[in-house]
Amino acid sequence: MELSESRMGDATTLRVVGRVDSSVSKLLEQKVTDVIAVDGFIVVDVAEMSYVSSAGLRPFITLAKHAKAKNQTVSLCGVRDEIAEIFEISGLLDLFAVHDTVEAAIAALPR
Amino acid sequence: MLDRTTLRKSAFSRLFEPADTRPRSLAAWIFLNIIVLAAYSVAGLVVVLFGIGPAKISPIYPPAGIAVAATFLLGPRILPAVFLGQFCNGFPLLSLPQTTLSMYALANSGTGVGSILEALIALGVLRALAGTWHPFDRARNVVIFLVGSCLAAACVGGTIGTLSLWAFGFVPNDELAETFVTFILADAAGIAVFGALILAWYREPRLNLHIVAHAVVILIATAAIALLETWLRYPIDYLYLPLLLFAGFRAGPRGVTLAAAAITIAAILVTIAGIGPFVGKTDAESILLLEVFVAVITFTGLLLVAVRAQQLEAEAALQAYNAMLEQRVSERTAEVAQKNRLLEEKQARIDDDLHTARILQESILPTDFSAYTGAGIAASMRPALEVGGDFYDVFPLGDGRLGLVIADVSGKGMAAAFFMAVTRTLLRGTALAGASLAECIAHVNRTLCRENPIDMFVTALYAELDERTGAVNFVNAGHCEPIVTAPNGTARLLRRSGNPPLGVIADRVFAEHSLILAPGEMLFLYTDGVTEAANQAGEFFRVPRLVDIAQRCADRSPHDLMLAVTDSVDRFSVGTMQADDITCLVVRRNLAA
Repeated sequence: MELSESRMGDATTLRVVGRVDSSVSKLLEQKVTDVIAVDGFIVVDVAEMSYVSSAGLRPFITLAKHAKAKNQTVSLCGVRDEIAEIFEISGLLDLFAVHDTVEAAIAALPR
Repeated sequence: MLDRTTLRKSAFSRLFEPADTRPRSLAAWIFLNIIVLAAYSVAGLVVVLFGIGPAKISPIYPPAGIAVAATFLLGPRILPAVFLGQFCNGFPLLSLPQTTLSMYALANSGTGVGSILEALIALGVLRALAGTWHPFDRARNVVIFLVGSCLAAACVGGTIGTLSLWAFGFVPNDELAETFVTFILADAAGIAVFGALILAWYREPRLNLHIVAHAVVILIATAAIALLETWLRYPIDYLYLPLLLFAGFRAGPRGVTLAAAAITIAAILVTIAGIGPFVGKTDAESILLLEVFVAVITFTGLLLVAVRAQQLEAEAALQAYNAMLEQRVSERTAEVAQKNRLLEEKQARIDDDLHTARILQESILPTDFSAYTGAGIAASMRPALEVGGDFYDVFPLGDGRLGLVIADVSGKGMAAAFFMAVTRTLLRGTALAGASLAECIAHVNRTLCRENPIDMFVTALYAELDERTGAVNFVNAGHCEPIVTAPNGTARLLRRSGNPPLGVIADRVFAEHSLILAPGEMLFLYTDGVTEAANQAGEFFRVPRLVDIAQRCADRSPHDLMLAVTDSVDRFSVGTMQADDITCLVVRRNLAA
């Protein structure tokens, strides 16, 4: 798994690349906690996330819970079909605003 | 008020402060003066033995050493004895035909005064420049002693003495210069050799076997060298040097001063016998050669012991410093040990707490399923740490129905264990209170959303099994997909249906599912600690492997299936640390039911 973070205006984009499973969920969890600490919108780009396991979903749940508590919008973009299915059957897709691209996600943010 | 006299007096008494400052009665002072006078006179008589040539002139004048040592030890109040001693020591002059009593008295009063000044200067110089009454511990003090207390003081005493004798006709004009030099050098040698000898032995008066044995060796060796020299008539005086070194290294100032005195006497006696390297063309030359030799011997010996003393002192300081360092280190070590002990105690308390927590956790996980006649049940939970965040639960709901729960709390350790206990109790309590499956899950979810830290949530599967009909109603809240096996060796996954974990979205309505468990079919519930157990290559166990095992064990007991799974996981992940809690719950609808 690789992580990169970029900031555009009041939106923080977190790009997740590769496999997300129990071996990296701790790292992602830490990153998510850091991102949450910054106020503003959060965009998670998972276009290049190839796989997410049950344990790998946990950081996403944490992110969604925190965002919900702070009334922040979390956008998920570039979700592949198989990833979308995992999120769907895990009941997590409702927690995120889903977009095709990062640009679309940022454009859709409330101003 | 402190007047000037007092100040001057105290400065004077400091300058001439002797080694022994005890107050004494007049009688005691008279007694001590008599003793010193006697010693001075005896030494004066002995000098005649060292006389060289027909004039019996000695190259060394021991009374000068006695006078200086007595003044160093007892102070100016011993000077009457010095004056009287010197006054009397001129007695050979009385045998000269031209000597009158008044001439004798005047001339020897002069030499007496010279001796007094000599002794006072010797003490004053050492006191003023070295601040002590003994010169043995510092090389610098040895130089001050030999140049100031011996040579400079002797210059004053010798000048006054020679002039006194010359003024009253006891020294002819043509011998004045020679007498002058001899007088000064003999006095200086007397102070350097015998003065130092007395001071060294006064300073360390205690006798032990070591010092006595070394003194005996020094004296015997000196005598042996002198006798050998006399017998062989070889100039072997250089042999005194190793003896001097031996004395200095082995017996300190006492040894060196004893050796210097013994060597001086031996050299003089051998020279008187007309043997050895100090026999000059004239008597005056012999005397001068001897005096140079004595000066070298004394200077070398005293310098050696001073340097040695400084070295010993430095070693002692170093040792003290090392001892202090060691002391510090041992103190610090003790401190660290104490801290470690506290840490260990603290750790032991934590371990104890954890152990208790584990026992508590184990005790709330049911292990006896014999009461459920319609269903065969096997379950296990193995935490990755001392306590875990996984749990399973089985409880009777009445009317032949069973409540089955498997759950996985986010995180690990104490917080997860605590949250696990809360969730388990909440779920069981709600279910036993008679709530329907949907009500029960909704209530637990709402409560967990409301009353728990933000990053805590729990994936759970709660199922109700009717033992009589095999009907299973369940809600899968974000948990792993259960497996259903049939005795014919098939196994299928029960797909998840979009429910999030409990404790994430408070107002969420959870989808409910149902199936019929045919007799002999098993419902296999597990946590992701099973499917995400990693091997040494970093690969995961994964669901397909689990389905394979379920198929192979489809006709076996729930216990066999559970063991097959846990054994397989153990073999798979051998050599790695268990990363997550591993939990299984297997329920089979019994054939007999």
